[in-house]
Amino acid sequence: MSIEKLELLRIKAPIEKLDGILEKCCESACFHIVPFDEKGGFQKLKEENRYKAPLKSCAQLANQLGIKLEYVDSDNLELDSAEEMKLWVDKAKSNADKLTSELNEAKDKLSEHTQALTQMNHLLSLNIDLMKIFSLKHMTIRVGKLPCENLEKLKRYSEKPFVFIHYDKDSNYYWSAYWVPVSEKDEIDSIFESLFFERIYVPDFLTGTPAEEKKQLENEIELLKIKVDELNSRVSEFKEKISDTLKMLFVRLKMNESNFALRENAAVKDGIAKLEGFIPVAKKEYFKACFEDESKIELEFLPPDSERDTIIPVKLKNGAFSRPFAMFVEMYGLPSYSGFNPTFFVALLYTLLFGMMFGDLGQGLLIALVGMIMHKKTKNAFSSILIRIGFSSAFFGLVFGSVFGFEEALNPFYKMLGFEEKPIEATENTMLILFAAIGIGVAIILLSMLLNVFVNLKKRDFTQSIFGNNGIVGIVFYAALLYGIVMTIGFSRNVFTPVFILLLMVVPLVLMFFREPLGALMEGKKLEKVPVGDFIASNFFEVFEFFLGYATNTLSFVRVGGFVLSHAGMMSVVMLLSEMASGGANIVIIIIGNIFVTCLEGLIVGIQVLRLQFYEFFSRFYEGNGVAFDPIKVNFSTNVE
Amino acid sequence: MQKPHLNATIAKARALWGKRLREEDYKRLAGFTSVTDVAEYLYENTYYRDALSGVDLRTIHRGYLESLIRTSALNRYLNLCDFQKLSNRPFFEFYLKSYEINELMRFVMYFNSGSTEHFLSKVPTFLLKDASFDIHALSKAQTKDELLAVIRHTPYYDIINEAGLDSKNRINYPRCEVLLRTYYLTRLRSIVEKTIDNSERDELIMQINQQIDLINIINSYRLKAFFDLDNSAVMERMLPFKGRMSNDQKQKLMSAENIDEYLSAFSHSIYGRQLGYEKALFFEENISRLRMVSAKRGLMSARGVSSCLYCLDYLFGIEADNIVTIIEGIRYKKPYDVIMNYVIY
Repeated sequence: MSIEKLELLRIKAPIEKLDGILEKCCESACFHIVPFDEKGGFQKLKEENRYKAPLKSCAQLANQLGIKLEYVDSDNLELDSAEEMKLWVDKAKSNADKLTSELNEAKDKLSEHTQALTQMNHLLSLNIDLMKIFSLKHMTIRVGKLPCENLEKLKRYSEKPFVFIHYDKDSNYYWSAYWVPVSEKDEIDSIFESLFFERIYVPDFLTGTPAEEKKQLENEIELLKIKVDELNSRVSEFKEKISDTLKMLFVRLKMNESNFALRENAAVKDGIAKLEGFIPVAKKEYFKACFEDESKIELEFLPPDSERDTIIPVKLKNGAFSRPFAMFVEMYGLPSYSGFNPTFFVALLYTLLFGMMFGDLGQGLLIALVGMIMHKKTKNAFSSILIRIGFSSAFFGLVFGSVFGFEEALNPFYKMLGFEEKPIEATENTMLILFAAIGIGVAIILLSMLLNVFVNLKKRDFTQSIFGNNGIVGIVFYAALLYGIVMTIGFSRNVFTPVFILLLMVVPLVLMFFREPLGALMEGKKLEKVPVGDFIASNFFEVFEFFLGYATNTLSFVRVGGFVLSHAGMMSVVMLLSEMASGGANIVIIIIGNIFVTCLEGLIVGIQVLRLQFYEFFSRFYEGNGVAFDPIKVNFSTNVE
Repeated sequence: MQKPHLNATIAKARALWGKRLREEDYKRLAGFTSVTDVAEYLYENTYYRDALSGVDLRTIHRGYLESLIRTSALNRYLNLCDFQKLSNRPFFEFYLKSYEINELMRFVMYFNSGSTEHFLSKVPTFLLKDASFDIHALSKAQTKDELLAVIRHTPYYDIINEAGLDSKNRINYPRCEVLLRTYYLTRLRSIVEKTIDNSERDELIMQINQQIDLINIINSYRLKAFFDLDNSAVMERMLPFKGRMSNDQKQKLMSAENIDEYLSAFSHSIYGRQLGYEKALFFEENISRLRMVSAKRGLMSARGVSSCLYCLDYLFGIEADNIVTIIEGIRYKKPYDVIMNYVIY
């Protein structure tokens, strides 16, 4: 539960060795590169990435042939230089273009013939050569289709010189033709155009009667289908032939292209390249070993803060239990390099609070099971969190005696342990649960205040660590106030004596009021000049807000108890509904009800616990302003710009 | 107050509006380069699928596609009316009167330009049997007397007659438009007053008044910006109703000496303040957007089924207009940005 110690590694080498160095840094998976500043005569490398064009061609070729690019071992690739790779891709692309163009041509022809066949099917009732119809000297024929709804409108033009026939009909159109004298065709065409008549252009090669042409078209379509199949299989063979090499080439090109792109982080002067990056101290020996055979490569290991302007990245170091919860910390923001890693506390509190608020042995184990299945498939952090909170939920379910909503199911187990009945009956101990929830809240708030003292003392920030509302005086005030309330209400003992009030409440409030000047005094800093009126007004309201904050933040934890009760309530509704149903329906209701409650309540409780963590816990001591340690790596995404 | 059982239609109307085309859809559509692509997108991704099924999308005529889109929008409204048998209530026939009046105005334009034979093609097919006059006969009318003979037994007879002829023996179109719209809105308001209950009536009257204002604003803007008419000529062409704008605001708009003055007066009106309007660019589209916002709000907050469906009918109409605008833009190869400027969402 700490932050990994880092060192700044500066590498100096002849420029021709730069690619090799970057490759090794990538392989290490722990080199966080820092773009080099142009100083001391060193300049950034400005060059065109020579792997970009062949990589793009490679991706296009894969897309053209439908080859799914994925990561494969590229050690067996026999192409070494960028030129060789480019030549191979260009040649393969040219062959693929030729094949696909032949295939597309055949497909287009097939489509044209199929459409012509459709037209012939609608024209079958015309027993006349198409050639004769279309070559009339004084008459023009138009074949096509008219929307059914417009046939009625055509009557408006009955006196116009045209003959209209429809020889077929489907749900939307009359398949039809009209004859018109050549001299009148413009006007009649315009009328039919306005009625949305869609002309069908009969291909020139169709000259006989529709019935004859239909037969011929069917024969030609058969031949074209054979040709398309044959071309398809030639494309498949070609695809199979180049597939492995193409995948290996893509991986190699992608690696080279990514490495080449990293070169812009280096700076060069007189043929010498400089590269900087952070590495974990634990990997120092690994890097030394990597480059020990290279005579001209110089490695310089420096403290992480050697470069004043460079932000030191953060790599969290967590134990096996808390590691997945780093996701929540990252969501809020990482700590700074010199800060405090709160992941362990997040893990502990999240697991406990979730379990308490969603205590059910059956549903908890179900969540853990879902987490395990997800983990097996995805290995992501969320699935690991599900496993942990699932078991926590199951444990508290055991305490509350709830199994899939059956509140008495564990009674024999408790009797076996020597209890009369289950330890806590949620619905009958409402006040106890709510007060316990507040008690948990108080403990968490005090813990966060103590962490604030620790973190800020480390930074020598006395304003926050001693005089702040979450500092030592804040703790004194908050603890005294709670002690007084508990003694007065719970034990009928009034401890609010004048001395108690003066020493443990008034003095801390006054110290909080003057926290900035007092902190500055202790830190030896000069106090910023602020008008007295402004100082009093702003500090008065701030102290008032602190006071309100103690109350509201503490009461905020009532929700922990609220969810314990709501779970019992929701499951009792499910049970009630199942009792109202008869036959097998009650089992169905119980199953659906359990799934519904698990999903809904699980989601809500998950969000509420996170809210408690972020708002009530983190806000007292934590600043998420760090930068993540992001080692360079090859991006194997198949997306190519 | 609305009868509770009609809330089902309101819920259904809102659910249907939830399936509307959204900004992303319009952007995708405007980005296409062919009408076929538009038709295929509408078929694959929107509730226009039913309207386009059975049509060959590769060859569909642009005009037919537009007609199908508009018919689909109308059918959605009619289906909603049929859902709880609202069609037999007088208010829900407003769409029919609106279509009749639009077609009459369109006919007058064709009539005046001497090209009536092209009038019929764009008439919605349902009007051939549902209109209160014979559309076929109307499309053949060549003289004013023939036109009046076709509409003799309808309320439109007196209106067209009153509109009179201009110096070139053409029907006075601007006058005709004002009279027809006035008739329609008077009738609509009268039905609302007589047949709709209190709270629902207020919602509807507010929508209708806004509609009147915005028609007047768009018309007066056009007359000021493109025809440079004097104030009295502009006033003659306004719908004679008191909408939501005060008389003072209306007077300031009408008396503006030039378009800059007009826009300045508009910016201080209740609509101008909502729009935060400063420039004349796409003024009409911005006004339509304003009405769309109001109709959306009306649809979502409607307590009565009539105001809910009145708003929805307007919104469906705007959606159909948007699609037609995009199709036309693509047909004339207009750039994406230009098309999107005319799309209202």
